[in-house]
Amino acid sequence: MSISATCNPSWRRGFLLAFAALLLLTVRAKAEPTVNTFTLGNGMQVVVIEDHRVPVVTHMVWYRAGAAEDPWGKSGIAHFLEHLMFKSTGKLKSGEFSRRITRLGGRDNATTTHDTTSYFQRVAKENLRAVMELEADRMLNLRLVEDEVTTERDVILAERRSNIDGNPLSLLSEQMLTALYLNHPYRRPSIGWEHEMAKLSRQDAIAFYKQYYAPNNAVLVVAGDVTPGEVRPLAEATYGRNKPNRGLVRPVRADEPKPIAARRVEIVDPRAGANILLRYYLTPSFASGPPGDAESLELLARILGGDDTSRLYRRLVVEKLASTAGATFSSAGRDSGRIAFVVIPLEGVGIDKVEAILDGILGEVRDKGVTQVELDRAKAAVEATHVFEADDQMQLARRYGEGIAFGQSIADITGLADRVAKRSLDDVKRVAGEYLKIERSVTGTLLPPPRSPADAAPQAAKP
Amino acid sequence: MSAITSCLRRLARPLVGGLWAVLAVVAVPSDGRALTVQEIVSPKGIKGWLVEEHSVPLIAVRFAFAGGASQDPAGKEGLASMVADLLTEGAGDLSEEAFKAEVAQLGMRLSLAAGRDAVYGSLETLSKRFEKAAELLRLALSSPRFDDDAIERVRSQRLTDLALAANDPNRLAIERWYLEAFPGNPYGRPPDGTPDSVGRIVRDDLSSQHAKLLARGVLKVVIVGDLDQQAAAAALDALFGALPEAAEVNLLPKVAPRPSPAPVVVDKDLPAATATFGLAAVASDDKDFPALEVLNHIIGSGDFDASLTEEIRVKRGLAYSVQTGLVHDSITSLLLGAFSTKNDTMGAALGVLKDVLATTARDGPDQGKFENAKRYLTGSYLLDFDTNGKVASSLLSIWVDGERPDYLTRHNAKINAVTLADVKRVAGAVLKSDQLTVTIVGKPRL
Repeated sequence: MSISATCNPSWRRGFLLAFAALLLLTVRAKAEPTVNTFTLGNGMQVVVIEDHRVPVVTHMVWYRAGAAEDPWGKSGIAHFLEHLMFKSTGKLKSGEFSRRITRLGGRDNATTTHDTTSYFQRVAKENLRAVMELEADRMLNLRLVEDEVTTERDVILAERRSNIDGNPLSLLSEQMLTALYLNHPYRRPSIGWEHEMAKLSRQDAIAFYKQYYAPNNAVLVVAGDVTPGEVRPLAEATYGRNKPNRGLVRPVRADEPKPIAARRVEIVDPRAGANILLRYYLTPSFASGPPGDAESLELLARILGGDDTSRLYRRLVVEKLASTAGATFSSAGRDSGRIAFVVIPLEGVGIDKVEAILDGILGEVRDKGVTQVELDRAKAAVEATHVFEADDQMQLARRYGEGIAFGQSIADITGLADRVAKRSLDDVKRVAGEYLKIERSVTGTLLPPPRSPADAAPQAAKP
Repeated sequence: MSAITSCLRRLARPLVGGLWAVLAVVAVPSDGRALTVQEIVSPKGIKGWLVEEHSVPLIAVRFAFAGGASQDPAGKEGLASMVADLLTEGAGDLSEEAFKAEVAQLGMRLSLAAGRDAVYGSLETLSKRFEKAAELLRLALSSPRFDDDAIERVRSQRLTDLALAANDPNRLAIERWYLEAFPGNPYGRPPDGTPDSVGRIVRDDLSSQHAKLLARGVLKVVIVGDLDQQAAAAALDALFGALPEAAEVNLLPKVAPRPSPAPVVVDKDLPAATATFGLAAVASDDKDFPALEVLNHIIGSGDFDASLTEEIRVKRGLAYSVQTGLVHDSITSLLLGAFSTKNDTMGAALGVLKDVLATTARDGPDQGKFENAKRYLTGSYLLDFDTNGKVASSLLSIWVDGERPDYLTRHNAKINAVTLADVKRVAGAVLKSDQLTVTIVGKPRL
């Protein structure tokens, strides 16, 4: 939060900052949603986020199981099961789930990450009960038919082909994560390795389902034009009837060893249109690591490469060495996060040159930290993002659903913007020194093969 | 059903400061809360649509200047797109660095981009900082600097983007589709240009195209958020008042896409083949358009019971996703779709696609799918109106399509009036599988 503080004398600056803080409080008081939580008798946690602007609700169920729970040799099973959840149950025939949502004028979809599998629907509020009945039904009553499982396996293989194998940058990133995580299951792609996906069976899916799909391993989020008083009886009448899995055991996820060696991955691919440099550093996430570190890393990543005022952009793009240069902090992991850097050098600029500049920028921040102007700007950006997100029911529901599934409290999640606002110059410098160490990193390069003169003609279509 | 149930119209009434609220359309959801679209005219005569939404301290502005990349001179393809990029690369007294520092300090979101039909813009900000944010947008629109340094930087970024895009199968397939469907027409050209055309663009091209395209006469603007009529009218003048009235654009005549007798293949060594397919469709102002919306949902919504998803994905596992959409560009109306499948199953998948189109054209859809589609299209309409940004985007596209703000209240009635016979008739007229234009990127076995 800063109102052009740099060009004012200090007394005036102090006044302006105090004034800005006052504004911030007012803004936050209006923008922060009302969030309540309670737990059903069977152990299912319920979160209600009130948003009364339009008579619509977002309904989500989050299972605390994702690709990190895939048994060894069966990568992709959590995601495969997510697809199969749209097949039949005791009450519904195959495909009927989505057909009913469609008939209610609603939208539905599902997502699998390493940590969670989530299912969501958006409907008019009067259809909330119908949706809760459907989702509660498929939590325990899925029926899988061999033929449908086999055909759906072809679909996930097609999904992998178009989303990963067809894109060399996705392949590079997949290889880099495998190198970044030496021991933790995050090293396996959430969609799965192709050779293992091809062998996934109905039994594999059912075993995963029986272990993890239960009310005591799930979080319900209802966001929208509802109150906790309305949601509670509906939740008790639907999900509340589902029996918990008393034998629920979550396998231990192996910890990472102390990183001691920088790693490099190189892919040469004729489909690479340009040289691309990626660098990942292993860091904590909002749900893991020492309190405050993730908040400092969020600010650090923005200062280094969050927008066109960032250090990477000024030094690489403005100086005409790269077309793209940026950084992001991927904070959404239960066990760890990472800072990712990307640089696409201009044609004729070597990848080693931009890598040296990247390393120089990181070295400066480790040694000297960042400036107050940079810190203020990054805080303003985080604050604005937070308020923009609060305007979007889906994003809000996602923020709380995922956070609760990771074991955070409502206060942890709601307090994020405040915690970020409290980070100091020292905090940011300290996390730069602690986490941006080369031995915590993987460097990835994507290169087109050397061109022979014969195929040097431009490939783009001409008018 | 949360459908809009009533519509009120207020007569024009004068407000302080010369602002006239010409017409206010009130759309009332079933529970009595209102989404009110006001048509406002600023003191300088600029028209805008406004929705006041005071529950969240944000303001979203969306606007379009008709013209866009279709106005690029031959050999200078990509010009409008570069103009749009350069608007935020320094303006007025603010250098590129100073401009971007102000944007960052305000925590605002600002974007400008050119499509075939228009230069589009978007501004989102906390309402407390709206005036400062609007001032930056005003500068960007009316006094971009086009500094040489910025031009060269944007050009080199564009060239890298084009090199990356030359390996993106989805983008290659759609660009080749437009080239095949509109040969010799400015519409067939890639809106972001080619390495050659981008290399040819000079500063004079940029500044003269800026002067031609950005004018009040071709502007449509929607404001949604935490401000009242007077503030919105003042913002219209502040943002756009300095622009000239008349644009120099030649809007293109209507034209139908050219069918290609056989699929056009862009040869690329890829593990999957990616196809774009399309047909001429009825225009958005045609009386049959609501029936076409229903038909498009039935065959290509991407839901598990959509005909194409059912036949290509659910029954045969040939593709992860197959969807169609209705595109109403200024010169043409299209039903466009895309999917990707293994190279050696592309022929089979295309066969299934043509079968589905032919069967639907001959027999019409079944009653169950028809009813489900209508229930979805009416029931889900409100889902697009839950954030300021989404409301503003939806309203802008309604306006660009030539509709009135009360379209919101009429949409569901129009869909409800569609009969199975209407859909069957439209299916027969549109789904001509022998008229398909198909482009494929990969090494497909056909």
